[in-house]
Amino acid sequence: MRRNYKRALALLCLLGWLGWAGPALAQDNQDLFDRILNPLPEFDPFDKPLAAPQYFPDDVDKRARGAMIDALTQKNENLADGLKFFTERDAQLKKERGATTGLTDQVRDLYNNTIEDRERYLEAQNKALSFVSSPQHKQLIESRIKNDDLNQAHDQLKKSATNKWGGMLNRMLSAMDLANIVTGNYTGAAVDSAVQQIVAMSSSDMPIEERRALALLNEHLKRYPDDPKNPEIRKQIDALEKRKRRALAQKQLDKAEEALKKKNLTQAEFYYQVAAAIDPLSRAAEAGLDQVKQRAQAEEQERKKALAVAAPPRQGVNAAEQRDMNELLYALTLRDQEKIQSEAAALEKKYRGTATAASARDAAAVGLEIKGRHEEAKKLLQQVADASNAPHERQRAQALLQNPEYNLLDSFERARTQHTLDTVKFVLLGDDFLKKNLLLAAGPLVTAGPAGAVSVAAANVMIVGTNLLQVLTNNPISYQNVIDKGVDYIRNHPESATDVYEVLAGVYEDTGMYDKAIAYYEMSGKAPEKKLADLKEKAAKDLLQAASKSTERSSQEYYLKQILDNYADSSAAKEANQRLARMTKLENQGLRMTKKFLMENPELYGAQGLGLKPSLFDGNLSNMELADKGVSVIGDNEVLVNFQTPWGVRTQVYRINDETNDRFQMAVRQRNYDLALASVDTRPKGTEGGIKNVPRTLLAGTLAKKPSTPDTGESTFTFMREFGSSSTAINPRGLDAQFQTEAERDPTTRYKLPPLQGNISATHFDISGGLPAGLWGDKLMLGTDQGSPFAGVQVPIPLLQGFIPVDFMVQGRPGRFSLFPKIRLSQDKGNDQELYR
Amino acid sequence: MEFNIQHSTFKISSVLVLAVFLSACSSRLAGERQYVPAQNLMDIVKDFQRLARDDVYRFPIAKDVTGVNVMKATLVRLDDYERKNPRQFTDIIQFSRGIAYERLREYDQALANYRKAAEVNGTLRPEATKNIETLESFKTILDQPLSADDPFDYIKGLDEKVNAWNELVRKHQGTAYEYLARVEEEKIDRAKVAFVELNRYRLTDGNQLTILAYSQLVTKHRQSKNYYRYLLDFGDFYVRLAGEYIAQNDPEGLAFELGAYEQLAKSALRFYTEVADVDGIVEKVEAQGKIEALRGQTEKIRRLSR
Repeated sequence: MRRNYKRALALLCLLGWLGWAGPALAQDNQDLFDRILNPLPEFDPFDKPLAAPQYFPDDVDKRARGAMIDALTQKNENLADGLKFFTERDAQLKKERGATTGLTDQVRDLYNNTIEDRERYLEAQNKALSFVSSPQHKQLIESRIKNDDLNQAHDQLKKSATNKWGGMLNRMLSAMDLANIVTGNYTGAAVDSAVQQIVAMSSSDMPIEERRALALLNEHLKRYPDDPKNPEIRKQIDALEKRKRRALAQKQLDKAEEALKKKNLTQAEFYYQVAAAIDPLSRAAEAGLDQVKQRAQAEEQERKKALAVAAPPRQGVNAAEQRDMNELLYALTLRDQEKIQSEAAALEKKYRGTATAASARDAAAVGLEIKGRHEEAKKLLQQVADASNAPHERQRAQALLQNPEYNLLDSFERARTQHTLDTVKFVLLGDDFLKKNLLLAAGPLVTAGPAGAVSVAAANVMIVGTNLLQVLTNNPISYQNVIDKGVDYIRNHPESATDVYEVLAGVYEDTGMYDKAIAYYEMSGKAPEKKLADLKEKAAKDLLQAASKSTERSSQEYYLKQILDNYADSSAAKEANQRLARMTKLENQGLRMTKKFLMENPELYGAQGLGLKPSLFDGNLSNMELADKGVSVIGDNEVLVNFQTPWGVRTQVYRINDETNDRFQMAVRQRNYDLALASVDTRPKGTEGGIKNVPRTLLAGTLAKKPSTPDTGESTFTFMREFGSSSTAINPRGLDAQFQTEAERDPTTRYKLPPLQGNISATHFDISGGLPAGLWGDKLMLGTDQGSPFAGVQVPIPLLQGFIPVDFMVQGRPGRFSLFPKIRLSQDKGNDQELYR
Repeated sequence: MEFNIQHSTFKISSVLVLAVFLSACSSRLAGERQYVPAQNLMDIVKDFQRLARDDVYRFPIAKDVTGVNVMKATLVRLDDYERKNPRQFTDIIQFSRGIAYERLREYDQALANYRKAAEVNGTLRPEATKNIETLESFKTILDQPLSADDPFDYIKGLDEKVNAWNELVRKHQGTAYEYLARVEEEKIDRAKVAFVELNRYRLTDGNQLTILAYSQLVTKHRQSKNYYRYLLDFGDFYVRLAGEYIAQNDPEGLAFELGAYEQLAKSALRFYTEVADVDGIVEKVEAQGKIEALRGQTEKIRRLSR
């Protein structure tokens, strides 16, 4: 009993404990779940905002304010006084305290900006350079001097001259091995150099540097119409304009010649006319136009003759024959297909072996043509063309069959044959076969006589090999003519084009236009299902790749939707679906800034920006850490923060007030300005600098926020804006952009190899690559030539640097070394290259 | 080894010679055209009927062996034949002329020739009479006057004409006149678009109406030979709107919205690219040029608006 009592007591105690501990345990578990599911309910990632700075203006502040007002109201004399005040005050402060106001440079800038005369302005800027203390300000002044149109133009002309003469010297020096100067035989080298020189000089191209210089000189004239140097500049402009006109006209003349070769007179005439418009004094254009006109006139006369009705032969058809033919003539006039066939058959039978029979067979072909049986009609025509007893009918049939507008299938076949021939020609001869052989053969043939032909032949074998490789990997001969002719045939004779559909599909497949290849294979009805499935897979992958490459959300969405709409069964469709789903997620919208980007630009998240706690960036998970995805500013007053937690990335949306948002936007603009300023001396004039992808509306600030206009009932442009717009292209919640670091934007930059160049030429192969900065040499080269294998490094000559840009290529060879001098040429790296093409 | 090199040199030389021969062949492939004039009426009629397609709505008029519009070439040849052989086969000559003129949409001359052909009591009379009747119904629609006072009456008149042509399309289904009626209907549809476009400033929501009209035109006449021309015109209209937007809102000013401009430019671009994407049509070259022009304009506007 006692034992039972004890047992009951123990049970009661246990129950009591459980009754007390049970809810607590359940509570703990709940907390744990809550923490896992939502690990940051109470965490505030924002710091308290700093108090606004107090402002107590002293004399310096007042004078600074006065200088700004003087600059705005263009009171130049007062500005000069202001500059004097700041210079003196800084001198005094430096003497007394060793510190300055730091405003003299700024006021000097304000003063210098009032100078209108170019020479004086540049002189003032150069002078300011010696005073300026801040490196940023120095960069700005240097960029102003560098960006002066006339200075730039002269730089460009200098580069062009260096390239011209340097190129010439390099061609001469390329054959010169200084290390072997005592024993070398230079005959072959001299011939090589001479031939290369002639080929280079025959080019009528105008270097891009000269065209840039011309544009800059014109810009200078516009900006400084009263500059004393202008008469001299105008002469320079005239000379450059003349060269440009000649070069541009020559390009049109080349196109005209090309068109003439293809017997396309209208195209040739067009290009000659363009050439004449560019250079009215061009004799070649005039002569070309005359030639085209003469040929066109001759053709017109021929055409007129063909339009006229020729006299019938003396021994024409007799009356009975004519009567028999009349019925066929009426049937043809009425386009009565049945009657044409029957009458033609009867005539052919009755007058077998005569011209009348041939004419009747031709009429039967017309009947088939009216029925739409084009290919059968052509077969009958071919029979007429082969008939030997009716010369007139035979010639007419032959002419018709040779007419590319009638015999479209033949045109298509010819285009295919031509393409094959061009491909073979390319493999065997390549581009500029004669030029290449001239360059390759001159040296060996002069020095070694007929024996040199062996090395020329070996060179050609190598050329053919490279060409073949190019054709197999990416045929440079365009298929466009084949495609055009094929499509033309299909459009005109869709009923007899099944074979053409298939050929065209193959051509489109070869050119990587999979959507069209699929369409044509489907129309041919001959492609196996597997082939179509493979092509659809390829097409979908292409679209997926295009979406990956695109930076615009609307384009990405378009490509991905195309995959889902057209290739829903492909494996890429699943990926496209996932990507589209990801794109619609909240964290992938708004102004997205990665953690790395924020760490590179701390102004944006610090006290003057979003006001995020620095602890979010310290790598310590225990005090909350920002995930790599960073933060997104959604709409005007929300920030989505991606936290890195032990359970993975968790997101939380916080509301921010207008003040924080405004502060952040100002910080972005300030940072953008700072970054742009940092690259101002390396960027071409007028190009955009600063943060990549920064939305224009953010940069425009309050300027972009227009007051809402009352509805006037005129909705002219509303409709257009809706037309074809993407569903997520315009983020309804505000800005849509992604800020990333350079390495995040293009991860390959981290592992990028220095640019490599290679050459497989007649007698040697070589491969060269730039060396990273800081090393002794500029370029590394490996290869083999007629002599032996070699390895070399290109080094600038320290003594000549800044005087003549000469590099020396030191090459090590088995048992010896070689030394080649080389003038360094400049390559145009400016923006807008196409504007000077 | 030397033998090998010499042997390979021989081989390479042979291949080069072959290549030169092939290139010579290739230029010979594209030889000069041969013209063989007709000797008799049979030749003329055969040439004409071989190329005179019924469907002038979907296909342009074919060119004959000399590269001339086959209708025009036939008219020249028939004149020549008639001068050289007066009073021979007059009914065939008049009837053929009638076809050529009607395909060139010269209905008065076509009617005159059919009437002359019908005067001859022969095989062609019944067909000529039928054609006269059809062409007279064409003329009735063409001669219907249009209001010059009220734009809405003008549009109503055009709509009535479209309906009338539509009826003729149905009536002459499967014949050459179906296609001719379609051509006429298409012409009125295009005229309607041109009218709306010209008067869009006077109409409420004129721009939307013009866009609607172009949309209807390209939807209705998708089979027409002029379809790609219409697409280019539609694109041009968007470019005009973009130009007007620039004129109204200085791109360097604050009122200018790059997005609004780009939407218009993108719409134009879509039509141009649709044409540039089609192979085997001359409009492709034009479309490519327009795309480049638009790219240039957009680049300029972007820079100005920065």
